[in-house]
Amino acid sequence: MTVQIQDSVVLCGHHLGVVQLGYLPSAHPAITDLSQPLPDGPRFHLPKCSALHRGYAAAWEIRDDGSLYLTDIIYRYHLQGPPLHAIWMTLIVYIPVGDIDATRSRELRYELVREATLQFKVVDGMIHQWRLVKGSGQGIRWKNGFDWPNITAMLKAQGISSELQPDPYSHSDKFSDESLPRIARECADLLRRAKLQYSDVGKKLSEDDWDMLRRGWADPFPKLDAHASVRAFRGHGPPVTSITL
Amino acid sequence: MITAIDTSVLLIITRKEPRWEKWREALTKAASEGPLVVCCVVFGEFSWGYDSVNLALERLHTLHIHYDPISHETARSAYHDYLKALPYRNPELRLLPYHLINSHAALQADRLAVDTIIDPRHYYPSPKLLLC
Repeated sequence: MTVQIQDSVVLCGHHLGVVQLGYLPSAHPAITDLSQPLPDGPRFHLPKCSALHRGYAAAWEIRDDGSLYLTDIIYRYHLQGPPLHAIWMTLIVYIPVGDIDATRSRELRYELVREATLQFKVVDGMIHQWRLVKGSGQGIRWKNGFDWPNITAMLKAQGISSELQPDPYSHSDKFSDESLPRIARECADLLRRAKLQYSDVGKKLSEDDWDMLRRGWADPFPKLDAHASVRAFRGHGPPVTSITL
Repeated sequence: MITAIDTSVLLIITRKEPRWEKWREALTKAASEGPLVVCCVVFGEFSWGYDSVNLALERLHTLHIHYDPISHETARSAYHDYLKALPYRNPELRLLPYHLINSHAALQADRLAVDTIIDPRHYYPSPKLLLC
């Protein structure tokens, strides 16, 4: 089966994807079924789409007070007018959140599985209870109401990214501009430790060893002292052309 | 403790300029405390006196002075400092080699052995310095 186009949901400002969040009312004056002949026009021919077996994808919104709204529909249906409060909906809404579980996603093939699910019990278009489920969900109690700050705190406590559904290929927070200096410091420390561990620590040199430096060494600036030579090497002393190239 | 060495110190020892014996003692002691390293700038400058890279590497290897390539972080840090210094009139601070040596010693070593006429902090503000 082809991967299906998902519903979208705006959850208190976060744009998320859900395989299928809810269902449409059986008949509603604001919703037009484009597969049926229009009263004052021709019938649209809607070819089948293998990525949209149910014939439509919907956009939803969960507002701060816990009310669920239908904001848009694509393909077979058309929504006219303002968003509809989904009072026809009584169900449990499942919204996957967190990093993608690559192993389980590969097993299912057509669905991205994430590490947790945010679940809402909706009654007549209003959220009455919620819970955050990691794993099977057994024994996780439902909490009454819809308290977004509390839900956010719970997500944070469970280590779920603040993006809720992070892109699997993005670097997310780990490589943000704020964390780069820290990463640079850590890399430098690791290199430093590696050098200390694998190099000749505590190597004894005799004073005669330093004579080795002179063997085969021809002074590029015989008329300049060390400090002036360094300045010449770096381009702010005598002209660099005095070095034999 | 990793000690980065500046070209000035290598030149003083090699040419036996004044205070070369103090530097020899200091570096011999530093070698007993940890690796001695040179960055790309110092290696490039000092190796110019030898006929070939291999000979330069061999001589430094005898003294357990390692050629330590510049890491990505060091390169970025050096260029950042260089850009910051560009508006200033001081000609030395507008030369990238100083910033590379400074960042290398600060990020990839624990101190820098350097000999300058004026205050070395003027050229190398970041690392801990080994002076004679």
